[in-house]
Amino acid sequence: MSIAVISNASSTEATLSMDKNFDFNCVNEFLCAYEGAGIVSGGHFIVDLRRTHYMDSSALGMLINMHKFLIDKNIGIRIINSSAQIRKIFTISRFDKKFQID
Amino acid sequence: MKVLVVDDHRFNREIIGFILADHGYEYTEAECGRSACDAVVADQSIDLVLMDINMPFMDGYQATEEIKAHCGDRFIPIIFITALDDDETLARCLSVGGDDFLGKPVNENVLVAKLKAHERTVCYHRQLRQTNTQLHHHQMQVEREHVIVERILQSGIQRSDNHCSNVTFRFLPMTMFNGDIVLVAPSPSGGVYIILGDFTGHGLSAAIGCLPVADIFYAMTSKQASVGDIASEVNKRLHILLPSNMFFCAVIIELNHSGDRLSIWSGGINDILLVTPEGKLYDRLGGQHMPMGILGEDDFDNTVRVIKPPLGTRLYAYSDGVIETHSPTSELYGEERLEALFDLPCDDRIAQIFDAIEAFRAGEPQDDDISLVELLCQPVVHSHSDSLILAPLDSSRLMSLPWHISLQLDANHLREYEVVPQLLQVIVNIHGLSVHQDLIYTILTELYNNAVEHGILRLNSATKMSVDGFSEYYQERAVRLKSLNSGQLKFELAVKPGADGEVNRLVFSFTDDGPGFDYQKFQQANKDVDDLCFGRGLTLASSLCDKLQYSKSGRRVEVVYSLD
Repeated sequence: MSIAVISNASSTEATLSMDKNFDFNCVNEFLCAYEGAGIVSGGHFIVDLRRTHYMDSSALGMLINMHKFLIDKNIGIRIINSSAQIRKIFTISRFDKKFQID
Repeated sequence: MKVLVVDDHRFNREIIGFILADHGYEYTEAECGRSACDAVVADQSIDLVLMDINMPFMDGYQATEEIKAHCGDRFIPIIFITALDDDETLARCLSVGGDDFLGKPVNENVLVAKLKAHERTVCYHRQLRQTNTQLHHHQMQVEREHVIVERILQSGIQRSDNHCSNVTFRFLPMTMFNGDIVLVAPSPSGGVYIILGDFTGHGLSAAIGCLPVADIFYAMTSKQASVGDIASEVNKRLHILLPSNMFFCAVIIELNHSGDRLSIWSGGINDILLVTPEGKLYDRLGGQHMPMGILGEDDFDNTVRVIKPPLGTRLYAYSDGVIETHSPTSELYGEERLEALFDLPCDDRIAQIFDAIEAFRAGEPQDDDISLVELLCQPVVHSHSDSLILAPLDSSRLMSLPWHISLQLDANHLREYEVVPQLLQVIVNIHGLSVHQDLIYTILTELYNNAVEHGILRLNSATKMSVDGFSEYYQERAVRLKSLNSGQLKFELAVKPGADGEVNRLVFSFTDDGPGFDYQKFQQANKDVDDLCFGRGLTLASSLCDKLQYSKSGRRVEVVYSLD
């Protein structure tokens, strides 16, 4: 399990590229990834699910926690490149209301 | 060198015979035109004829005509030997097919000089014939190989039946083989990938490079690889394959499903044009990188440009052939003329551009491959050819065997093995299941985790209420699992083939030996979980399947999933 984190020079945007499985095995790594990225207020995170095939409900929990952590700091989240199957999971869980998913 | 001496007077034949023998020529004789013709037909080794004109039975003129007509490809110079030296006679000698003439009585020096001159011609002619035969063989072989290679290239390069209505492209190869390549592939998340490229040169050597590019492109796009990664991989392969004077100018584009984000890697390719929904050219994206196949893996830059164009934007990419088309006065078409076309209103921009190039060329031969692609930035729509639509529909109704799998897991297995991935590996091999594997994986994971975490490890989800608790919960999970030494979990799966056109169904269950729980109470308590970071698993699993049912006081959960 590995999450690649790439931030831009001005620390206004960071991309978290998730691995094949986005599940409870990466709880801590995911937490460290967004807490440690040092993104400034007004910036945003991109969660790239390009490589992700499988996602479980703990991943949804992790995203909720991330959202809670970032909302006070006025930092946004965008979820990109989700497969049709994963998008279905987001829709069922009504995540499309809370997150920008494209 | 063998000479045929034709004369009705023995004396004349003998004089010439002496001269020929003196100078080392082999010779044979004929007494009239008729027998000269027969001799030439019978003796393939005759190289040259010395021909008298006036003879009984058949004169020299007629014999010459017949010999020349008979010989076809075999070249035999005929030198007339005549006492007549009027212009009319000499002209006739040549017009019936003779190659030269010589006065009678024969002057030895002149005869030998002429023989030598004609001997040279015979030699050249023989070499030419030999070369021609070789060339002909070679050409046949090349043509045969081209037919085979063309077939291989076609099936190797254009293999996708997918049609994306956001993409329009056209190409015009200069020869049978195309050194330009345009490929379009759907991305698993519903977007679309395009590669447009141009190998140095054209024809077969350029076309051959398209094969590895197509292989990599289709393989990586089906896994939703990023544009930068595709560029790196193509570059890596071409760097190994191509000779140093050959490279690949290309642009790789990905448009996301909603049609508002473009990722572009371009190297050595002409400016990419962006056009507003109203048709106005508003931006040019210049080349970012060197062409592919030049730099080694370490030096290659796979940085991608991401742009977010307004919906309705159109993107145009094209190969060199478009702007390097030249007019009869050797003027190049150029970028300015191309860009000026966008000032004109038009419904079919690609056709307009091709027409404009054609008109500019004004009948001049095409000297490079030409390709052009248009990408419309709006929500991506894919369609498949009929054959592909039918296939998945059929597979859900395919006869499937009534599988039953049962698996009893003890503490050892739960502790040591990645159970769900292994289960999935077995399940996807069942006929017709592979297309469902992602959703089945999610359902299996949720049910398995619930059974393990609550039934076996007796963890309490309430711990997950806070952010720290969320992490603690999973740390505790790992700790308890590591020291687990009792507990049983049973997994069962059955495939229920659908009767009479019904879809096949999958029924599977987990049964743990824990204390169970009040499923109905849980359902009521978890109606509104939008803001909680837990409690979604069961809801999620049950929305993904047809039926989810608890029994045995919450220790057993069973799922029915339709394979439609």
